[in-house]
Amino acid sequence: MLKKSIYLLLIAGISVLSAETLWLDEAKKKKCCEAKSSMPQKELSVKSGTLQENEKLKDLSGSVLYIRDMEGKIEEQNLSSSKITFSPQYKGNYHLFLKRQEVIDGVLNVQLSSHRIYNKEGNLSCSWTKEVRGKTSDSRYLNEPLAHLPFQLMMEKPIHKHHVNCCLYVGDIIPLKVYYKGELLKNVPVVAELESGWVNIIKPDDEGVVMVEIPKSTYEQEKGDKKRSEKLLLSVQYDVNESGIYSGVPYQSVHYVMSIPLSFGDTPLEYESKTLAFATVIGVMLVFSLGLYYNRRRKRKSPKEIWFDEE
Amino acid sequence: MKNKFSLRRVVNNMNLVRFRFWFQIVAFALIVYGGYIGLDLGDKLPTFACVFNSEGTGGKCYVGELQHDLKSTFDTLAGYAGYAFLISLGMFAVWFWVLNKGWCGFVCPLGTMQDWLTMLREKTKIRFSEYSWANRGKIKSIKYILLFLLLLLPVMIANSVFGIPKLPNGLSMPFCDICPGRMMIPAFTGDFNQFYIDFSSKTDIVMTTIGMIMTGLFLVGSFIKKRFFCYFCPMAALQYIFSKPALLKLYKDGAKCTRCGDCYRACDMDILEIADDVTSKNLVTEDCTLCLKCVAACPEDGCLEANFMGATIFESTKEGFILRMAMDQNKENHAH
Repeated sequence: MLKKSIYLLLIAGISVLSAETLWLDEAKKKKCCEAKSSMPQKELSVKSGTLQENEKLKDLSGSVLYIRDMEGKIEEQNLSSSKITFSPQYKGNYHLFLKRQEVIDGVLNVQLSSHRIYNKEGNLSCSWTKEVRGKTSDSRYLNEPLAHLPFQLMMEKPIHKHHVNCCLYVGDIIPLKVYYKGELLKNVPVVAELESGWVNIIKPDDEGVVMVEIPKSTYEQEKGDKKRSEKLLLSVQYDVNESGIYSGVPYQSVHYVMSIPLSFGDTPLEYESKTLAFATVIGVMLVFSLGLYYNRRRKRKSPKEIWFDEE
Repeated sequence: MKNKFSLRRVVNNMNLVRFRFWFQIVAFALIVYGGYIGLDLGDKLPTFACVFNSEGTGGKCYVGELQHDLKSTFDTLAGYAGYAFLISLGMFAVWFWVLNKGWCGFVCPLGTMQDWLTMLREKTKIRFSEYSWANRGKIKSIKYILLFLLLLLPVMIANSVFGIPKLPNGLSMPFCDICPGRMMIPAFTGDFNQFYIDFSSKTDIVMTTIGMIMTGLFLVGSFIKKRFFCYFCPMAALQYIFSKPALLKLYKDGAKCTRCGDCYRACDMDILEIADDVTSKNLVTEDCTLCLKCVAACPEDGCLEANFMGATIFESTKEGFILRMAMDQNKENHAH
């Protein structure tokens, strides 16, 4: 039994915001340096730390990027510089999986992160959330975890709630599952953190599903900027008592960390009035009906007889 | 001697009202609830299969996709976005050519709702209304104006046209914002979340309020006027552009027409040409929903016919007319 062979070490008093968490982020281009090319190219960087305090990794040597296209074909890229360049060949979506390994103090740290790129421009923002909503035809939900990653945090199924649009909103609940070597782990909590420093640890249910509810935005409301989006980082950690040698360096245990960065916005419900909407519909119906009624009544009356006096 | 039990005869003598009623119910169930059984007919359907009915929809309306496709910069529209637009339009045309305007008369869930409201009015014995002839021309043009706007506004979000600054993103699906289907179709699955007024921006306030007003007008208008909304429907305008090569046609043999006007009186859309025009063969006009009520109401043998790829599938016959009259009479007697 796989379960027996693995000695689980759940992090005692989980040091949730360990600097080991890394994630893929969109590298900001300076406006002056944006070149128009026929082939849209996206630059990604890798950040490490917390959303509040993080640093860009300058050396990605030893890291591997797996790119899964719409047809499920996986391309492997060995990274070297600090930036990842990515040129989507066609409109659609790509899943990126980053894997970085190093041995520190006899522990093999396996840092993983996934991201999804949508369309030919390679937009990162909201691309995951499009998938969360199940709004793309080639959604990867309910698929098996990627075989190249020994440890994986993934969405269980798309969420369908109010509105058609792709965005993830406050109050949405994302079901997540954690896999280790293809086996579902039922006791690994997921850590959710915001840029403001807010952190929450969510435990899985009996089925091993972690239901993460998008928290209320912590941004201060700014005038004229009601639909501002905020970043959310989901991460999960897992320790395995397994020894071996990596790049000539021996290790006694393996520490896995995986993250998924998301962005979300305030729920549109905050700016919506249902009561007023129903009142408008009923009001229009009443006015229209009364208008018709009186119009019909007026037409039913016999025309007045008009007499012109002859002078 | 005529074969007494020929299939053609059975079809020509059928009770079209009943057939259409059940056909519409099945189509409505597939489009509004099909998603629950995993049905997905894609997002290029030439009918109001509302994308906002996120869980239940068995397919998606092309108008939504069309607006989405056009929200691209001119550069991208000249490239891959243009190809995507053309492919989508092609798919829409292929779907549409199968049933022609029959999508409106037999499949459209909004059309079906309007027919149900008409039935309700008939039960309550309230008199129906008609548009005045003076206003009909103006009313007809509304759908083309709506179609033009729904094509133009998404383009103007991504591009500055005629020096006008780019429009706010809230106008990215302008027709969906005001379409009563957005509110009414999800409501049939118990989802009333689309009934809202969004106060997050001026554009959203205006568009969602218009949407609510349209819903109110749709409900009362459809109750009092047969196929009230179809006169304004931009989908009908878009469909008409592709109507000529469609496989299903409504043909008329003018030589057999006595201009009795029965077809006109049966028409929900008050299309005068159906009775008046004795020279044209194809009588699918911009407002026609191909409901085939005119064929069922025609007392002349072979004067009107529904033709699919050259084969007559339903045609007017004296016998069918008499039988349907008798059915109506029976129904009336039964009601009394």
